[in-house]
Amino acid sequence: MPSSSIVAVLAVYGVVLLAIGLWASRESRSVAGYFVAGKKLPSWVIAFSSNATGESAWLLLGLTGMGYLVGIHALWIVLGEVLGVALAWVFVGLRFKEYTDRYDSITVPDYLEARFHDTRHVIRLVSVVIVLSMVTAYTAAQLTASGKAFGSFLGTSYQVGVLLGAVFILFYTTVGGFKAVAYNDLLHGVLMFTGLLALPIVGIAAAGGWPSLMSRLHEIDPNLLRPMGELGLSAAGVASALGFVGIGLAFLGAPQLLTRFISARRPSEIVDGSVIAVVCIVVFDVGAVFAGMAGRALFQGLADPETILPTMSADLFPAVFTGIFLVIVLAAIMSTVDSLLILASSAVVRDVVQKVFHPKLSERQFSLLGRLTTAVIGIGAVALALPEVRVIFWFVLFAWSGIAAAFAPVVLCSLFWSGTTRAGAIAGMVAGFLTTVLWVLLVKERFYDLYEMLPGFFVGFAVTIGVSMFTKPPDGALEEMASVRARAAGSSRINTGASS
Amino acid sequence: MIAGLPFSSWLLLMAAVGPGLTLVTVFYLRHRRREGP
Repeated sequence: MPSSSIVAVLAVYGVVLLAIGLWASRESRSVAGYFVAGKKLPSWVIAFSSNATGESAWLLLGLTGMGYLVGIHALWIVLGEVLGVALAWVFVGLRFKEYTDRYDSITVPDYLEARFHDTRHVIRLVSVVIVLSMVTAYTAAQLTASGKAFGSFLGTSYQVGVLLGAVFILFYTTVGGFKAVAYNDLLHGVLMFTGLLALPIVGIAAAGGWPSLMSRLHEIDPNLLRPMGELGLSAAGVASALGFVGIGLAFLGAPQLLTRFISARRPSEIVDGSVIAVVCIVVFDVGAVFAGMAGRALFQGLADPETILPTMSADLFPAVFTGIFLVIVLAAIMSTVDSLLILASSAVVRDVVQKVFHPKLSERQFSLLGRLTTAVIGIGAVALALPEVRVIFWFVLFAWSGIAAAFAPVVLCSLFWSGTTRAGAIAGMVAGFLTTVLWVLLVKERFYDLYEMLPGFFVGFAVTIGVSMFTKPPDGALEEMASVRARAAGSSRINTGASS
Repeated sequence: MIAGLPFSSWLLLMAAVGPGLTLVTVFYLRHRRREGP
């Protein structure tokens, strides 16, 4: 039976989320307001929101479980993610912000269409197919995690857990739009930060301190303390380490993360946000891995390693903190799902309805359509998540890879190589996406289980560059890139970047 | 072994967090300096 203190913590959390949704609803009456909060967000909001979006329930349940299962070997994931976040904020953020402000873009397909003069809207249509297919599955996977989290913390039925999570997210996302999503993500990010700072410290202390933890892990399995784990320096070991590093590549160009750069109040917010984002991801990831390792020493023989966080929070903390840890898991789920819903809604309303069909609707009507689309996609994901409980963290990583392999190579080429062409971009998006899908279906098992992000990225880059070399780049792309580079490199404070 | 953990594992931990933190610190300071007081 759920204790009253856990329910009280949940109730307070729910009220805060709904209040933020209502507070943000003023900003959401225009299209730019609904989808990028009018480009008015400060550094700490975009930094925490970006990381909380990138890291889903997978961080709290999956990565702690990985620390539990493979120990130090999971640090390869940390390497990829910290480097991915740092490279994105240092090299991608300012350029992307400068381009999108010039074009008055509010979505990634908006930007790509303007960058490649795609008057036939092919890039928009390809984007919307990729985004919708991946987002619905990704959202369903997160709602499944919500069902499991409520079940393991409170003992409620799986279906009730899915519905509770979905109701809160759909309310504040439809009412408050991107502003509510970003500020709720800030709250979620701070909760995740605090939890992943506290959990390993308490876990290591409970294991008798660092030296005791190390010796206990060594007794359980010496491979838990080795960088290459039980596979050693074999082909499979290297493939596993590379796959782990590859998870972080998505931070370089997943559209739900790039939207944070667009929504920055001015470019200097990206400079300030970069430090917050990298420190935050270090705490998230190192905290999750070491919490899992401490959990292995404390609770051996768990049937499902991904239940180590609920187990630790229930056994090592008083009941009220168990409620807080449930809230933290929900925070990780919600911060990802809300952003995916906004992304999918923007793909339909902004990228297809508004820009391709040009119906005569007011800004307010477009914004209403955005809310309606958010609700429809959310309900579709609930319908997918409700019927059965599946172990689907692998699916989270697949959807994460599918979106990133389609967009990141093309976005990176568009920002750094003026020779990138419209045909190259379209071919690169399709190739990156299809490679991810085909790799999982046909090749992965026969190739050391190498994570699909790596071949997806490689083929995405190769096809974008290869096709671009044989086609003509847009007129003026070279001069435009030189101007963008100069502005992004030299005048982050002077350039206000205001376009709202 | 240092504090019970193999040296190679410490190296991996440093590699995991060091380059990212350094990169972002240099980026931040360079922009701050350019802006002046």
